[in-house]
Amino acid sequence: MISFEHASFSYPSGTKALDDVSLTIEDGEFACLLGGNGSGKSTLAKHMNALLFPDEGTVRVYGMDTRDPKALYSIRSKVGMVFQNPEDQLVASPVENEVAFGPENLGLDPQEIRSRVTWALESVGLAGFEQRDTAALSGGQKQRLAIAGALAMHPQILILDEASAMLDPKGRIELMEVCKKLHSWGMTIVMVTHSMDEASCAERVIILDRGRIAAQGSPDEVLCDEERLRKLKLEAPFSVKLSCALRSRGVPVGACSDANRLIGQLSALKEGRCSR
Amino acid sequence: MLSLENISFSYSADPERTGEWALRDVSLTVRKGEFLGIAGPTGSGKSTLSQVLCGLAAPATGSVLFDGKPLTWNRRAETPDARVGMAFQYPERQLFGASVLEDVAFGPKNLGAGHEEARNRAMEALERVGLDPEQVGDANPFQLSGGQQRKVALAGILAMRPSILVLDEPAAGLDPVAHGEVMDLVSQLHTRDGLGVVMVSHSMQDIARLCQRMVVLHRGRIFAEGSPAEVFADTERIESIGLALPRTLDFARKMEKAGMPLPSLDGLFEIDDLADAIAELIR
Repeated sequence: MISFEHASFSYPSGTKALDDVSLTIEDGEFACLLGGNGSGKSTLAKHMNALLFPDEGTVRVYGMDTRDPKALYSIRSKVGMVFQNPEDQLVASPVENEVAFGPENLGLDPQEIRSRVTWALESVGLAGFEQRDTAALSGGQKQRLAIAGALAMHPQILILDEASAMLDPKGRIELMEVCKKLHSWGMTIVMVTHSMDEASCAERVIILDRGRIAAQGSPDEVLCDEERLRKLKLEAPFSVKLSCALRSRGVPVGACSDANRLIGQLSALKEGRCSR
Repeated sequence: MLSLENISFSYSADPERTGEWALRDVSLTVRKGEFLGIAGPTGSGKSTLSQVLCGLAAPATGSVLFDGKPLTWNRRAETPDARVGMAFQYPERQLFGASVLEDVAFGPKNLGAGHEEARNRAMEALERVGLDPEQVGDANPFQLSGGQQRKVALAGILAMRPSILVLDEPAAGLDPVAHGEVMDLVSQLHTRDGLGVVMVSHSMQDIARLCQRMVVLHRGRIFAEGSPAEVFADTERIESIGLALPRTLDFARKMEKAGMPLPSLDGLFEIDDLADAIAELIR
């Protein structure tokens, strides 16, 4: 569990990136952080594993104050983080050495390290890649490897800071599938993204604007209000825009942030049943 | 007209032995005033191709011709050929000027323009990207928003007056509103200013909506070429190399699988067109 209590943060340049944020990320949650460029979403994410600390207010991870130097080690081992550019976070080759790097630093015994490496690579769909050269992987594979490296530390919370931004569509889908699987195993997932379609997969969407929380709720609650989204420099997911265009043509479908559910509504309409 | 003839390029020292080609036997023509899209999975050679197109990367074999003559790097003057302008990914990371105007004027100055001339070109370029030179000219570029910084970086290229603009993922990393603005700008540079545009993008929706013609790269070779309607007509072939379909087509395909085929998917790239077709079907 991560809790922000009236947290504010300014960069040395004077830019106020977080402005009195109070927020709780519950255990086992799948949350998405959205917002325009400069809204503070990455800054917020970096407070979650003590890469940044609030100037005012507090951030606690499982009750531990992130500003407490003695808690740092424990916080970082509970909260794993994956960044935008996979190239920036891979340190070793071949693949199994990369994943073993973290557990080795924990001083675990070789047996335990081996089993963690095997499990982490299986979890992200890279079993069989143990001996591959890290540099020769595709972007999507590198990003999944970065997740495996974080998983090998057995975190309870995984934060992805625009981790899909540099991936092609297939890489993005692979990454989302891994996140959904980890979430189904009970891991807490916090995803920072610009993709409204990715956000529609989350349980809770939190929108930031100028360092403040501007909206939060389920994808259907938050992502269907086109006008508000535009004001926040975002746009509605594809299926919301389509359902809106359909309503204006007299097709009575409800606003819906998920394409498959929209197709379900259309299918029900076509068969002459009421969609509600 | 810019044409590539049988281009091969490798980052490996001995590609004949290793077989590691970034581009292999690529022939391609960018017609005058054309808007060409380049798509392909990660690692397919898109960024390499865009660097070859503007003369920044010299191919191992084959030639790059501009209006029939080789595109060259003029070593004596130490200036690159300015007829093809290139915007790398995240071009704002290359901003360095103390003021917006100084940054945008750097290119023309480097090409030999005098102070006054460079300044005039910079003002004009800023206007072309929709920024008011009076308002932002003296500003520190790093104080601007991400979307504005990107526009300043594009203005820096336009100030060199290229006739073809090569853009590598021009909207990457921008929020949806800034993304829309940059795509509108690129489209304007093509339709209003008559610039030839080559755009590398992962967004199939952007390519399908804006480009007249597109090329799909796969493992360094041209995998498909034609109008977006032609290329996306064979959806299974496109999906087989890990590319996504434009969202409109993807949705239509999902409807088909749910037993609601639309009569035609041809060129169905706008939400309004898709909504028309669905409304027709449901009625």
